[in-house]
Amino acid sequence: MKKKQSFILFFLVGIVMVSVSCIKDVDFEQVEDIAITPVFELDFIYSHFDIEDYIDEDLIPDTDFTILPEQLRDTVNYDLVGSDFAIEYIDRVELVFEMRNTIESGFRLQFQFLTDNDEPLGVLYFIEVLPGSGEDSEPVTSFSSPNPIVLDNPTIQQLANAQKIAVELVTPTINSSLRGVLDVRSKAAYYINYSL
Amino acid sequence: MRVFVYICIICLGSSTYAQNKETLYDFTYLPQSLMLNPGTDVQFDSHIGIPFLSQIHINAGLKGASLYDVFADDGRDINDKIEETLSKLTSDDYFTINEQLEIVNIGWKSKRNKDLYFSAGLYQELDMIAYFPKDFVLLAYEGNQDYIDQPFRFSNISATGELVTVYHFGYNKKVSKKLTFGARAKVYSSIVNFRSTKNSGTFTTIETPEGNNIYQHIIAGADVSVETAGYASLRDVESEDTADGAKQVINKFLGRVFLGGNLGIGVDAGFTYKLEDQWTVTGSATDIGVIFYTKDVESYTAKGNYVFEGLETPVTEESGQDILDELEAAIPIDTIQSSYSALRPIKLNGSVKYSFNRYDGDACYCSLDEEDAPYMDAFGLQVFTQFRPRKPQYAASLFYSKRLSSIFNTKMTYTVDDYSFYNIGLLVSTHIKDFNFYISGNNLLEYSNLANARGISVQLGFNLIM
Repeated sequence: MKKKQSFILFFLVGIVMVSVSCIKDVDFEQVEDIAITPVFELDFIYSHFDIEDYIDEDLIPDTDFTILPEQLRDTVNYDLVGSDFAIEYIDRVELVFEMRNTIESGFRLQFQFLTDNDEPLGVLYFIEVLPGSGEDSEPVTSFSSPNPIVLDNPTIQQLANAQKIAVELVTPTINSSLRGVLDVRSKAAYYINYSL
Repeated sequence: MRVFVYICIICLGSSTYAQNKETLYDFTYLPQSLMLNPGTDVQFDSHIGIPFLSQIHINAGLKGASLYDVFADDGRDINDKIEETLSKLTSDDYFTINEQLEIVNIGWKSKRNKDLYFSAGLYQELDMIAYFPKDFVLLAYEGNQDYIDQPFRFSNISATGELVTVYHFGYNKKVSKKLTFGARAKVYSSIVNFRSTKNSGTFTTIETPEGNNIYQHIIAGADVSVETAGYASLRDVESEDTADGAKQVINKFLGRVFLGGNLGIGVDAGFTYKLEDQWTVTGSATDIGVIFYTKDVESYTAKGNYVFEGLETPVTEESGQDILDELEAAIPIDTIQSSYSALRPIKLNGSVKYSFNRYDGDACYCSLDEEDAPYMDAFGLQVFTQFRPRKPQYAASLFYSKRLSSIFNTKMTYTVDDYSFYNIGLLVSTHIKDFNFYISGNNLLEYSNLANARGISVQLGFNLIM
């Protein structure tokens, strides 16, 4: 009798551990619905423009002069938007510019994406900089319009071959007595949408 | 990426607990109990494990979450469930995989001294633990936008893995009627090892209202390393991508199985002490050992500091600013071939047992030789600890074992550990003449739906026990 009970127990255990064990109430097909959507905020370009650096020491005070455009034009390497990953998975890029100006003059900052051969791509972006209140005063802060500048996915695709950004500070005629600085600060928020 | 996710699913589905074998510990009818405590009170004269089948041990689990948390078929968006699960998991959560396969296991009582029992054998073991690198999973999954001024810690990255074969020889002696002592010498032959456990440093995006730019992205005090042994030569084989690549890998593995790998030594020790006739105390420490990695060693380290503030214009360097070049220069990745050593994960077991219900019936129920009639029932408490890279894992079990007949022995456990408060385990062992089969599992309450389980452990095997 005891043997019989033992066999029954043994088979019950077998049933519990082998037959009953299963994975249920789960749906692994949901993997298809996974969308990874991180947002990365990274610094973009920055610049420190001290007008005194561009005023010739020999220049007579209170004289109007112009800074040669090439002195305030620059090209930086930037191929993030032009990468395959960006084109496929970046929903949009939001660029925020913050211009802090103490120079009593307005400026315009403009930038354009370029190919490796310096051919322009897409539109020319620009930000108007409000005049400041003079050296040592509280800086006047300007932002882009619109703020932020949005590069949507079609725009990113248009910029597929971008390798560089040309940045230029456009200055009006300036008086040699002006003093102060213009700080350009900016960041880019990359909105990624990665679906499995 | 999809393949990666499927691999994760498989790992979650098959990953294991610590190496706690609460049902096998001090189950003196089985020779496998000698592997957990070389000082077990041996109940047989000799044993031969059926080669490759004497113990198949699979132990899977995940601390902090289950498959069900993410893949439940409940109509909710899987992305919401992933977010919830991520918020629940901490960097102290982990998953482990432990698998053991006994290749040879034999034992015999000394002819000269009946109080001595020797055992020897060879087994293969895969052991891996990976802590959940929460900070960097969050960074990858959510980005840094919501984590400005919060550091992402490289110390979150911690994982070890080892594929090893172990040669062992055990000595078990009944010192007195009360005390049995045992020890086991081990030689390890590591097939593949990797470890990345001593990482430090942070990545932080901080807001800088008075800085050059809106943020500073700072990698501070980065010191990240991965040590590998047995991997570099495999990579060379894979890179050839020839038809006999797999054969070459197998040949390399076989060479390492037979003491051609990185060697190490270790020892197990344990005892059984009968306080009184019915009270028994046991204890053991296993895998007190070290492996010296001197062959086929390749380690990678990245150390340094880096601050990124954006693209400066006007550019000061003629060739333009290349962030990746700057980063590589600031935090170079070095590949080094220096030897290292690593301790084996020590396991400690202990138990207190009260036996009762001495058999007083027909002798045919007592097929195993014993001086006294055996107790049919016992209950007690067991504790288990395993040392891990970050902190030890603990488990405590209440157990009840019953000798149902000369054919069937059982043991039931209730275990509280890192994973669960509802872990019921059961072992059934059958002896038909000299032939023995046993099967054991835990977390039985979860068997109705393994997706809900944080872990499952199964051992089974065949022996000839004389």
